[in-house]
Amino acid sequence: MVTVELIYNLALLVALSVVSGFIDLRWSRNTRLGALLQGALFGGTAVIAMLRPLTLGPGLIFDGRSVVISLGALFFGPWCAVVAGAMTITLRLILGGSGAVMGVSVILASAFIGVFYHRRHQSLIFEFHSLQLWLFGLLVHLVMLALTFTLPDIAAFSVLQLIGWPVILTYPLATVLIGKILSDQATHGRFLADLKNSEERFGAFMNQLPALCVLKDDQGRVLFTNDHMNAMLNAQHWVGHTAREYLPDAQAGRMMAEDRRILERGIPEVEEVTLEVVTGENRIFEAHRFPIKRQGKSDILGTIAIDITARRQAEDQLRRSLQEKEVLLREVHHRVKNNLNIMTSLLRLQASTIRTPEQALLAMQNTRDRILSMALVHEELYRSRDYAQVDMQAYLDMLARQLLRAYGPGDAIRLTTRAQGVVLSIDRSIPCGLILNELMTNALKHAFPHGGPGEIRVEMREAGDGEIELSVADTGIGVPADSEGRGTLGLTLVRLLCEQLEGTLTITNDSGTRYHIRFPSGGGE
Amino acid sequence: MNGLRVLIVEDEVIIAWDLRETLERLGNEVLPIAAAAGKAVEQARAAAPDLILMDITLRGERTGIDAALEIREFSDVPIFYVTGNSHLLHDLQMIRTHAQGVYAKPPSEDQIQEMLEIARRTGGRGIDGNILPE
Repeated sequence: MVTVELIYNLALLVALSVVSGFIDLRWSRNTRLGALLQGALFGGTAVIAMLRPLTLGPGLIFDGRSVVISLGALFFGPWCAVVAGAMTITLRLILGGSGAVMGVSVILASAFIGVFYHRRHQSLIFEFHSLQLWLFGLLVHLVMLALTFTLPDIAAFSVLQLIGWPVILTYPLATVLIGKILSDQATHGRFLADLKNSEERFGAFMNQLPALCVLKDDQGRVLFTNDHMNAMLNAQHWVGHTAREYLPDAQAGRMMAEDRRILERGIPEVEEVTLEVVTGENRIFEAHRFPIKRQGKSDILGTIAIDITARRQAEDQLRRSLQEKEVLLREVHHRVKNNLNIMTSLLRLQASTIRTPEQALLAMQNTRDRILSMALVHEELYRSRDYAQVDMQAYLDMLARQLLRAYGPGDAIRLTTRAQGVVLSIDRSIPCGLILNELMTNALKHAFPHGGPGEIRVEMREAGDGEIELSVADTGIGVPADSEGRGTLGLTLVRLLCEQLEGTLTITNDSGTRYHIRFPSGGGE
Repeated sequence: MNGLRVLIVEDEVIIAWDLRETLERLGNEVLPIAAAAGKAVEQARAAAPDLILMDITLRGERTGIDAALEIREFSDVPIFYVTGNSHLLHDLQMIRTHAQGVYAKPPSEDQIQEMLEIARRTGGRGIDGNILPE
């Protein structure tokens, strides 16, 4: 009978802790409402315990109110203590009798000691060691035993003799048992909250990652895909499925075999993959796949794929640009060398015509002009930043300025240039520049032996059939029938360069001299 | 010293003119200048020169090496490369043309004399693989 009552009381207390946990999950103990509800629960339980006391012998009645009230106050604080205390005190006063004063005193003492320890507890998490709980229970019940002296008509000592040892032995132990259950619940609650926090943090973190993140189990089933992956590949419905259900068979088979290999070997792998994303474009990813080891076992496969399309494109562009620069550099050196070779040949040709010091001086002057006419092509190339084409209008303007400065024909001679919109490749512009130099120099030096007034008109235009028309006309005395050394070389040069341009040269003598050249704007065999 | 009949293959007219002047002054006959590979082969076949001075970069797609390979199909005429493209010196195709020598452009008068001398000695017959890098 006693055993049944004991089990009944214990069951009641266990039920109390379960319901307390249930309430705490929904209305936290840290809120006023939570504490009040816990108070009602603890008060109610103490009331039931008081209505079904454990009778050990005649006049020897135990109930668990001191345990329940002190623990309620310890774990849930003053508001809980107030409610539970009010309920039990009310019942005790209704029951009345000689033990009423002691009964109320025990309730008040238990509640105060509980609140006192609750206040002293620093942390918000109410977790206690068994020893702490036992000492707490011991204190509560020593006070309870001390309160037997408030009993009026029974000798306190005889009551103490009867219940002293059983109370000291059993009540603190009951406090430890119930306290431990409540403490464990607090621990579980904390674990749960920590877990939830951690889960939220890592979920948010994974979702913010600008990479495709996937977790799969050892059967190849997708456990998780992050937001970026879902946005890029529409992967949200992959979760719970294997590759066989969302990829073409061949691809799925390959992927699952690789996944298995990584899990079995326990070694991460990196590869570059091209994936078609939701926008329909193909993007290049660097996919890192790795086993996730837990308790010495690799049963989760993680994949992080980083979009490296932009990087790859930049690399390709850089490589292309570098190749272009190399080609260009070789081309430039070749041209420089070629131009110097031309100058060497010109000098040698010119040297063979020199007979007198005057001719030598003239030859120097002519060579200077030819070098300048070639240099101007390069100047125009880098000035315009178009390294392949020469704007002939700009070129002619510069050449005319140079020659006017060199030969200073005076204001009576007008030199006009017109080559609007004519551009030549670098291959054509060097011989063309040399031709223009020869013809313009010739006109400046020989067309007006007596000064002006006169005009030299230089024109270039596109003839429309892929040919360029070039004319240098002056209003001077016409081609001298037998020009001296320089004239011959100059004119031969013009003829040969015209040949190199695959052009035709016509010279007309009709109120001045007019050289007219037509040549194709593009080269070719 | 007998004059030789020389074919100049060169797309840069001023350099070709210079070469011609020098060769003519040294008593040789210079054939009309070829500026492109096709023209060079045509001239070599039609005029059977004693010596060819061959530039490598020519007008158009085909190079002097292409022209030399084609000329080798019907002639052992001594060929000297006169070129600014010294980086092509070890070109395998070029070695296959069994040229008599390679000279940097433009060659000096002494170098031209040397070419003429070699051409005279070999009597118009090519020597296998005898490349004389400059």
